[in-house]
Amino acid sequence: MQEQTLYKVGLVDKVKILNSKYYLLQISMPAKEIIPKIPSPGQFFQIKPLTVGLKYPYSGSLLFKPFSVYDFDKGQLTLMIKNIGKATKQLVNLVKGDRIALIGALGKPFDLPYRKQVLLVSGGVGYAPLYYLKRKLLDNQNQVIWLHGGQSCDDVFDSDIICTDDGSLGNKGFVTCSLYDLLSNNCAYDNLKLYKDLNFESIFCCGPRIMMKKVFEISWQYSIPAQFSLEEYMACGIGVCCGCAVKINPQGVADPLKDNHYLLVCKDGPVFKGEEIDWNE
Amino acid sequence: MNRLSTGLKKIVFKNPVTVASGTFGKEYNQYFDLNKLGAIVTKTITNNPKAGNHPPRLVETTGGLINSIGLQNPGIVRFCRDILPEYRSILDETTPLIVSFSASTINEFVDMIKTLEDNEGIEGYEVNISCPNVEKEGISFGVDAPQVYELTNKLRKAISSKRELIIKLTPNVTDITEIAIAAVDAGCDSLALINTLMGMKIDWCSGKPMIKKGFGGLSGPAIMPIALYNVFKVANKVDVPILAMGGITSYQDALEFIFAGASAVAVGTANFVNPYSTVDVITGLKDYCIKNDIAITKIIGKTLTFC
Ligand SMILES: Cc1cc2nc3c(=O)[nH]c(=O)nc-3n(C[C@H](O)[C@H](O)[C@H](O)COP(=O)(O)OP(=O)(O)OC[C@H]3O[C@@H](n4cnc5c(N)ncnc54)[C@H](O)[C@@H]3O)c2cc1C
Ligand SMILES: Cc1cc2nc3c(=O)[nH]c(=O)nc-3n(C[C@H](O)[C@H](O)[C@H](O)COP(=O)(O)O)c2cc1C
Ligand code: FES
Repeated sequence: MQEQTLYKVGLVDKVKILNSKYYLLQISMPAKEIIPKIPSPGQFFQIKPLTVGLKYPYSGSLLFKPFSVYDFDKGQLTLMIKNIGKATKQLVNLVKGDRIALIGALGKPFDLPYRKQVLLVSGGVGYAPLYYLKRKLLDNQNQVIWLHGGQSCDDVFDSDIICTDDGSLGNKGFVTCSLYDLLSNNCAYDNLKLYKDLNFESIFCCGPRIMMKKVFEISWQYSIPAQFSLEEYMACGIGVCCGCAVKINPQGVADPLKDNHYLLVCKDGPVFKGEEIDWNE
Repeated sequence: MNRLSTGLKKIVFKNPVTVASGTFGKEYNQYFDLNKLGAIVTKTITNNPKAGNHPPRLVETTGGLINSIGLQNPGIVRFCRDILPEYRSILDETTPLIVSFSASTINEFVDMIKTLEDNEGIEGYEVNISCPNVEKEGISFGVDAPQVYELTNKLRKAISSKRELIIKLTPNVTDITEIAIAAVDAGCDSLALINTLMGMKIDWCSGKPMIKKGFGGLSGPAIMPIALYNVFKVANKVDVPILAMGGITSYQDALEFIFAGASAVAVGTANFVNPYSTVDVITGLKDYCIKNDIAITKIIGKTLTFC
């Protein structure tokens, strides 16, 4: 069998500061480190900074950490990173020329429709995978409406409808409320009225678990198929350690094995159909 | 001459480096040839399939990893039907396959080994005894010397093949040498140590444990000094080969274990830290042996002569 190299070593082009919490990490791949296949939306990379002077990735946090593809263009990979802990802090403090080990692209991507009217719903850093998804959806001539929510104005980014929990920007309230209003034609906010005649055939969602659960319930109520990008703590990223398990809804999985109560986010996901997941877990 | 050649009692290893149960799989074969390894140890299997524990199952700590996978595995039937043939097609005759297994009663352990005896392509058994015995109020087999003696003895009698019987010890005991001696007296061929240490991590904002079950097994560089001490202690007391593990990330770490008395070493968590860890450790050991003009077996247990 042809051996591939397990990880590639990219170089940091730029760390763009979006605000106090969110950053864009742009990584370019040197000629011999080209990522063999163009990533699909929803896929992720396991990444880890390589300390200068060390050939192997042993410093800082131990594990590689998973990040969704935010954009990929002409061999340059962009990740959106929310600074929440040890590894993310290290990542956003990298400077141009720093080396980064990347495993990927990994995981099962979103299923892309063709020439449909579709909704994107995201919360916080859940914005990341949907950015690249939107680009590819537009390539497929879909009409895309994007609802994005966050706690406050620091957690929201360019989209069609912005919601903040504290009302500091856009609609006040949860993004799931605006989603419900939009689908039920109860357009409390004027910006929702613009889209009320559209007939959405698909929902794509990424965000905090509790938000995704609500989006699933709404999608179910309106019989709109929905795909979700899930997160779980990971170690290997390639289906070896069984660390990244999510509980399945046995009725939702085609032909479930009787004893198989969990799917692996890294291998079976991170993108799942809403009905595959046990949202009560 | 192969300076790296070593082995356990009945198995020859072309080099001292294998993988720790549960941290490695055939998935890595797409990245490097698994036949570079001294041996392969499978993830622990149980008689019936096991779904595993509720997530979150993992959390990183300073220099370590806590896991609570709950032995998720497809069970012995699917293992023998699907996974074993896959390994057989990947591995050549220079790479022994060691099957790790576990059970909740002594009879179940014995039944499992009988089933495995009926299957080809296995060179050894690593018995994971860090699991509760349902017939003894759920007390782990591995913490009780008489139980370890009885279990090892029955397994010994159930093996008719030339396969290696390895007992894998847990460090979560008062005196690991007592358990090691029980296993050796009952006729095991070699010992593997250490399994993970019990540990926990709490979210300091909410006070909630980071692992759903509350606690889990700690592995990785953080535990290496403890593992090394355990290996050293056991090597002092028993006269069977030791397969050592616990926090190894480099060939220097591997050398420490070999000096402490290990005949072979296993790389676990480091596979997640650097997926080429095993290959790097092998290369490092080879260079070390050439530079010092020695065979690796010459330094096994050398530290014991200093103490
Ligand atoms: C498939 C996938 C895609 C992801 N995409 C992105 C992305 O595009 N941008 C981004 O900023 N983050 C993303 N994440 C989450 C990101 O991997 C974690 O935020 C990161 O690993 C945290 O590391 P840390 O050391 O900074 O934080 P830690 O100090 O480890 O943890 C801080 C907090 O984050 C939680 N956490 C840690 N790791 C994870 C994880 N893997 N999933 C969920 N919660 C976690 C911890 O429980 C803790 O509460 C993704 C996760 C997955 C599984
Ligand atoms: C994710 C994970 C899964 C593990 N699963 C098993 C297992 O199934 N059976 C077993 O005997 N040990 C298991 N272990 C323990 C390892 O085999 C090893 O004994 C321990 O991790 C110490 O080595 P390390 O520090 O190199 O990882 C597991 C460890 C980890 C991190
Ligand atoms: S992260 Fe190891 S199985 Fe998914």
